[in-house]
Amino acid sequence: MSDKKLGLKDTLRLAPKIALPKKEPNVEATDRMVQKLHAEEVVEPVVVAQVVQPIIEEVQPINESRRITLDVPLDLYKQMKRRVFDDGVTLKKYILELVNQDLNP
Amino acid sequence: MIISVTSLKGGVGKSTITQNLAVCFAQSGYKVCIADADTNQSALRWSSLRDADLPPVPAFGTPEKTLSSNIKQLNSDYEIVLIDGTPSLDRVTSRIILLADIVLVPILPSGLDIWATEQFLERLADARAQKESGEIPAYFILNQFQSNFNLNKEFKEVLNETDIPVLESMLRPRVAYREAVIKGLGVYEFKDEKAKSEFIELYNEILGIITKA
Repeated sequence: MSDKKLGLKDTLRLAPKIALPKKEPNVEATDRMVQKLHAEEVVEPVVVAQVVQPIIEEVQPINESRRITLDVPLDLYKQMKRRVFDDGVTLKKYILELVNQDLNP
Repeated sequence: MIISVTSLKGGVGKSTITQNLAVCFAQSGYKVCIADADTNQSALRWSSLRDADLPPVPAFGTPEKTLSSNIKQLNSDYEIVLIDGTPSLDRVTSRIILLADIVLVPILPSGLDIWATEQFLERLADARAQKESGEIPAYFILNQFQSNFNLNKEFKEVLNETDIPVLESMLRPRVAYREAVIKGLGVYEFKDEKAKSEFIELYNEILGIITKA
């Protein structure tokens, strides 16, 4: 059988227009959900060393934790990812250990 | 129909894919617009370069504070609203995810993209947990993908293990995407038949998904 392509792909066309489902977004509900998602967020972008207070709440009570979302400068983020990859640990474990070592040497 | 094209990583092709999808929708006869939430506002500039003879793809800047209400208004005026997302974990990204009928996540075959994806999956899971229906359909789009590389095959396998499906259609690294954009075109309107063909495949696959949604 010849390897020559028959040009099937060239026959592709945009699919014909059809009616699409339309839902109205609920602005108020969306705002509420966003509020909840970011309720415990550190607002200002900070480096890891500056977030000790929120994280310590997660470490000390063994059965209780708090989730924080943190904006990290991209370069620092890449370095952290490389480090945890090389060390074979999770990012969470890495950060918590760093903070723990700093606060409880 | 609100389609969000978003990712936590920059340079993965969000704007390019948004603009090219918008062109395909416009060429198919849909009334489509782009809500540009990206800080570089490239969709606004791209839209302004489009020839008046081409099907219109207006783009609107949407600051975070008014994003939800702006999208609601655009959704009532247009059949398709494509949101060009911004690479961050901020509220704007949460909003972009929560407003969407479908979320498209472009991703490049690299370790950095996979790592950034972990965070995105976490945010998506949080958003799904908040949403009453719990449904925010999301799909990966493999961009600048060359399937003959071993690393890329492995990359696809890793993605297939996540709970976000990977679209069958994928985009290869092509100059046409960069050339078309500076003329205000999509590759569908450009001279590179391979780029055109692969994007039609992607568009048709996405259209198939949203018509079933």
